Amino acid sequence: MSKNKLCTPLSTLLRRTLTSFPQHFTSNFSQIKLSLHDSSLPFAPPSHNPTCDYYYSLGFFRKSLCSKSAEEIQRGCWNCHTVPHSEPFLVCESCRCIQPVDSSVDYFDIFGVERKYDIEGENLEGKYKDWQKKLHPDLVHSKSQKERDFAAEQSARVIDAYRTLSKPLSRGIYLLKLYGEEVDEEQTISDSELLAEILEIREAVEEATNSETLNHILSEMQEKLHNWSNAFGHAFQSQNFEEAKMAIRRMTYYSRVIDEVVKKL
Amino acid sequence: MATNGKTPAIGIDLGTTYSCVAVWQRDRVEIIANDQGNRTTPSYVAFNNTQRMIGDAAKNQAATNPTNTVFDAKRLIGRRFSDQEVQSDMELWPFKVIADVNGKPMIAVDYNCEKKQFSAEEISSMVLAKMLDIAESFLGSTVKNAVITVPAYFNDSQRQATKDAGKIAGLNVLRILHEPTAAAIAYRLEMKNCNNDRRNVFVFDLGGGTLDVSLLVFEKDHIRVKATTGDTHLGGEDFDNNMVTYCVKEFKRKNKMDISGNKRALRRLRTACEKAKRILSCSTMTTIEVDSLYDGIDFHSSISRAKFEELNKDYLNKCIEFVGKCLIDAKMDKSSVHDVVLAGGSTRIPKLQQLLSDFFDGKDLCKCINADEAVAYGAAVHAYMLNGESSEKVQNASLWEVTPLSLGLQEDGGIMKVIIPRNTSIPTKMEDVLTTHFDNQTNILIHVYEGERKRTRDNNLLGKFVLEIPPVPRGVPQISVCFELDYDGILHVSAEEKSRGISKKLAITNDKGRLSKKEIERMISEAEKYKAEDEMYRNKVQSRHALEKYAYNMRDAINIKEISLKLSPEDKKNINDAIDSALEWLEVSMDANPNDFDNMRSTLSSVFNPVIVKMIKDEDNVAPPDTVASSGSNSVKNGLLSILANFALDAVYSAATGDIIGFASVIVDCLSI
Repeated sequence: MSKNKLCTPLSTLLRRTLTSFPQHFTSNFSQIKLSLHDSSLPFAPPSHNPTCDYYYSLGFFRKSLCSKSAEEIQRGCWNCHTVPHSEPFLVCESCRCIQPVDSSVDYFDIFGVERKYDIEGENLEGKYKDWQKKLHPDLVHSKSQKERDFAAEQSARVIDAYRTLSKPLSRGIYLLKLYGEEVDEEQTISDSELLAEILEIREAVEEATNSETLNHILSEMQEKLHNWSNAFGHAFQSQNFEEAKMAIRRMTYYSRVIDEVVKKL
Repeated sequence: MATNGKTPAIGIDLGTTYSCVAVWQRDRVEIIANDQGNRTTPSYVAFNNTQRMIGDAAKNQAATNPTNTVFDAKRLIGRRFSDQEVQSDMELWPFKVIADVNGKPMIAVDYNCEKKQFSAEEISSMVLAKMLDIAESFLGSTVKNAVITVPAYFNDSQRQATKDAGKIAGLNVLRILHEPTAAAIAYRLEMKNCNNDRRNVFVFDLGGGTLDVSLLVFEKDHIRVKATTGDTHLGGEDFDNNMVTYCVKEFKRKNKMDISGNKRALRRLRTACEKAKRILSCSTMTTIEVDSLYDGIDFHSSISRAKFEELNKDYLNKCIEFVGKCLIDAKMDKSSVHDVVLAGGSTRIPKLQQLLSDFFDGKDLCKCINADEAVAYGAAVHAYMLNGESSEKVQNASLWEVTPLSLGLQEDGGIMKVIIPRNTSIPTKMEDVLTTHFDNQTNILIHVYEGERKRTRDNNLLGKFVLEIPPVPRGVPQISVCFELDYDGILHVSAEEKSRGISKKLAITNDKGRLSKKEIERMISEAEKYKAEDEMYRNKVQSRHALEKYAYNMRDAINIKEISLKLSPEDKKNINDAIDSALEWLEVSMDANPNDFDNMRSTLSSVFNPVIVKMIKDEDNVAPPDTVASSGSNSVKNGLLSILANFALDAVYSAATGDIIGFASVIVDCLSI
């Protein structure tokens, strides 16, 4: 009960701050986060540790999940009730039992990477394999049905997380989703300039008779995809979601053309 | 036999033409031989007026009973009657295939003087039950758990149907395992340089009826599938068909007769062609000979390896095309492949091996594993692991599989919208959000499809369902459709209307060829009924055999000199007449039941026993006149009993308990004097 009370003022404070300085959201967020560790703040109880602070900050984005997250922490492992001391909590380190899916843990949490667009260089594949070695259904086939179900669900989720984050296009769409911005992938394109460009490219692909021409088109499309990927990164970083969504639509079209060219090669 | 007192799990390679069963035991894989001593068993089921046969027995009588001998169930399972592959195969099969009310193919046979229809699942379950019997005979204990292999390129319907077949056969199917992955497991165990380096392995699996090509990555503690493709309707049988067609033309050219309508002739010709194909794998020339093939005319034709290759060059080249596709899907260059592993009997074709080696720029192909047994071998290893066991040699490598076919929904205009693309790792779970296109729409029809074509009508319809929603303006509802692909590669779909908190979890309906739960239960009880009928038939055969053995033993007994001299001509005639009557009765009483055989044996006993008892008593009657004579008579009596005991021993070895009882009663009668 008292935690809920503490949660509300923090959310209010964060919201008020954002209202005051919308253009400098990122830097202000960092400052606020740092200040939470200042023991001189009158409303911060001394006993709180960084983990709790982390969940308070999460509460700003997923307010309705705040209390659920607290419950998850308190509950511990379903099998041996050990309190987890590492995040995210997919497998109990004490008894090695696989835990039920916690939907408040997002794909970036699973891989222990910062929630941002540019994560090139992060060893996603290595972390993905590490998780699979702990969650794979083959390893729990003789366990109880309950744990087998947990393994199937957790394994499927890790696979989807890897697939989503490992490609710029799907990673971008997922990021927007986390910020409450859905990209309607089937929305009819209204940009006549883009339409003309796409039609021209598709004609070129259909008319191409040798691999040299196709490879040339392919490298052009890959360059455009890369450029719009950068454009998305900038737009997202400056919280310009409309611009970001437009970049996603462009990336979608170029991505589809690339698939068709590869198929024809 | 079973370690830790736990019943072992077996691996079954359910093949189009041959099946194989194996078990991990005493730190190695045991390929289990059947009752004929063969390590592979034909995937054949045959029916006649008295019995059902499975395996070698079924295949051996195929030429004399072609319309009731069923094979290639794997080419029917999970398919629709209207499929092009089914229609073209029906022209080659001597047995009849018809469509049921749902468009599901059914096999029509005569069994126990009745017209019967079986689904492909039921036929496959009979083969699986045979493999299970083979395993249980070897292990000496009941087996429940099994891993069954399927082609990696099997679609959802084919997988589900194979799992159903296992259920009908009484098995708990631990896993539906991909055949090339099973072969990779076998190869991994055989690898000499078993270091922990990453290794890219290409598996080429060409069996009797299916082709699979897979690219796998071996790592320290897991095997990861990068890509898989293939054709579930391409295999050794297609090569045989081309040879049969060639021979039919040859016969027509020589004798001006068309035999293509004669099922019996075609069956014998096919058997000869298959044999020739095998010989051509190690010889460059052979002959195809069938005596009295048609209208009393012999068929004789030479065929060279080059001719065989010419006849089948289209199929051989088609195989190699899939190799290229697989590498493209895996985004890997062929020079990065470390090993090329062959599995499946048809990979022994020299031309195929040459084409593969050429494709990989002269690389040596790995033939260290037995092509016919590798798949069952790997399945046994995986079954052992899934059964909760562990061993130093097995390495406990987990398998990271992929789905071979894309899964999606039908959009307006019949366009395929892919939700799960092919070669996605499994298990996987993906969602898509739909909405309405019309105001006040009250339901949404969801069609689920599988395949790579742009238009849904060219793909495989898996199922459909209707979701009821409250009427609101178009575009407002948020219907979340969730695709969940389990580790056997079988799809589960559910849908949920989010905006109003209405959660409706609906499963795919079975209206498109999937067996319902009720149907599976009916088939399980029918399978048990057929098994009971088999048991009754076996009992009848044993009783008949016991009677026949008894009659011949009687004749042999009275022909022994010591006994023959003591029997009157009249008694000998009576016994011989009784024996002749019994044997004549056997000839005309094929359909008698076990009680009839037992009664006839009692009749024989009633003629034989009094004569023998009288003979022994007569010996006793001679004894009283003098001491010396009495001693002699006793010796003679013991000799006679000893001779009779020998026949009892024969009866013991014949394992016909009735015989033992029969002779024992005679001996007891004599001893009681």
